[in-house]
Amino acid sequence: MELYEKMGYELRELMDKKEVSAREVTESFLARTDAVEGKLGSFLTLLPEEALKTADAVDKKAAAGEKLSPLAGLPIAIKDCICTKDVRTTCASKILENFIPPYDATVVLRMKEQGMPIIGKTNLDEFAMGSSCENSAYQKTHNPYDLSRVPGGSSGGSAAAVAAAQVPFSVGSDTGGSIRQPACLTGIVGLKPSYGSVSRYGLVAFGSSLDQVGPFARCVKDNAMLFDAIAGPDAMDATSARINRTPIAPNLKVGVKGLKIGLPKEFFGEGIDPEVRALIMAAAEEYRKMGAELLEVDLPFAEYALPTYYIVSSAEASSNLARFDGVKYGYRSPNFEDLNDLYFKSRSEGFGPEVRRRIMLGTYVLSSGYYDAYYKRAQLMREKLKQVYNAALDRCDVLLTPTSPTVAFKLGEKESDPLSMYLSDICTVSINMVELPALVVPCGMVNGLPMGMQLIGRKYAEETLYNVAYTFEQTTGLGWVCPTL
Amino acid sequence: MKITHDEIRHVARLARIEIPEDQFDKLAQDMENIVDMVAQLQQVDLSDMELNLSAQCNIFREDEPMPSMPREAVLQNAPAKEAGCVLVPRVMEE
Repeated sequence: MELYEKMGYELRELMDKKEVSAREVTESFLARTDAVEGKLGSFLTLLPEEALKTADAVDKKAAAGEKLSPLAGLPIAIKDCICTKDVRTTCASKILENFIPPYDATVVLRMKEQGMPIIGKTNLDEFAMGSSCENSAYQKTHNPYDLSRVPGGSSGGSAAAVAAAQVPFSVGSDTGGSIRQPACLTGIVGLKPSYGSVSRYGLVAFGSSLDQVGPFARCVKDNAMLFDAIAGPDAMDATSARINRTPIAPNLKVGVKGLKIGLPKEFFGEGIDPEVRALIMAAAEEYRKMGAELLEVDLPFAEYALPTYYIVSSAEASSNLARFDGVKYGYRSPNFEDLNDLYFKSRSEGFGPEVRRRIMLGTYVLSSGYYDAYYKRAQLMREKLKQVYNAALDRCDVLLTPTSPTVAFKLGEKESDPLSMYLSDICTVSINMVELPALVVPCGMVNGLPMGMQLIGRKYAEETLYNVAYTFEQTTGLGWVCPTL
Repeated sequence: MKITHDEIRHVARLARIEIPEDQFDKLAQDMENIVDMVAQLQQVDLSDMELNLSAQCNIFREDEPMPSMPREAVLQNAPAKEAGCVLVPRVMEE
């Protein structure tokens, strides 16, 4: 068995017993990346030398007898919309092709404090807008389990890199499902934390009332280890919750006896592939056998989540992306007549078609005459959805749903029809609007392709989600399988 | 809902984005489809709901002076600069 096939926590144990060094671990993942990256296209930037330098520093600390952090010497990849000091951060957009951030995002600082070697920056849909990674201005990323299919999006590069064992850990961002849907389609574990659990300082903003940074890993324990490292208050993010947590990973528990699991019937209806539905129901049945109580719950108005989400997220995106004007940073068109023309030309030449479309939609719903009809109604619906979800979670400890209505689709299949692409987010978008945490865990295969279920919890109850997921993983033995590439 | 070329032109101007004339039809069609989807919200009675923006209010920290980023770091990504400032085309009439 190669080192890269081992879980992060297993590598930690081997390093602690001095059986392997941080350099050997990092070299194993770098060699794996060399071997498979040409087929996958997970990375926009690779940083092998810097990663080895960090690994050597960890080995030096270990040799000096210093105590190591839980994630020291374990490599990580970072979605390219999260700022890394002195390392190009493009958001997979031409408009940021040469952008070199002068500072680190808080999550990056926390990885560095742990001593995690940063292997590279991963591909995404431009500015995190998309569900397939096909909207990147640079390259398409392929699903490691079938190269003719998408890895999901927008954090498709971060998901593919972990699923293919190019790295044991990565981070992504999730505005409407961008961590959970790719985790589901590549058969790994992904968390969208509660709004406020993880600092967004240094994350390039898309929809500020929805965005969260979160972890990817191949098993529940690894995922919890990374969450423990990046979560927690940050004075640099005014929306970061001032909660001090105890670490989750060292205290994971198996057992769901008496736990109430809600199955919202709105998530199991039309539009969900029957085989996906059957697999998720089979997972629920497993929980029942383990002693959990299954309850059918109603989530009225759930069908309005998608329209509400596209109004809120596009409106916030149109406002957030106003900062890209060709003046302070980013691309500036060489052909302009005056300042206004500089704005028009730089933005039109710098943004790709999907980003332009969302900015147009956002500007439209915020424009005079339409504001009340769209944006204000969407905000009211969002309040309604919060009531509905909170009522369901008063009756249940967690909700269990599908993550994606289908398995990974083919590259090009939905590219020309934005609306059909939007529908692939139908199971995930509402969770961002209601600010709750949701964890995706693999629960089997459909036609040889990975599939994951979504567990939704009460606000800040990430620990419950991890325990419930850990119980499933440990009891059923289902989980990540190393793809043959 | 029909979206006219004039509306596309108006919204594009507000967003500071140039849309080539030959893309108007496709964009209008895409936006019509999306707007029709989001227009479902009009059918719901939300008269019992109130906006509750205070629930999402910011957490403030003390306003204390702290070291800020050096000027060179702030300017390192500016596409054009001169004398420690960002350079833009003339905005005042002579």
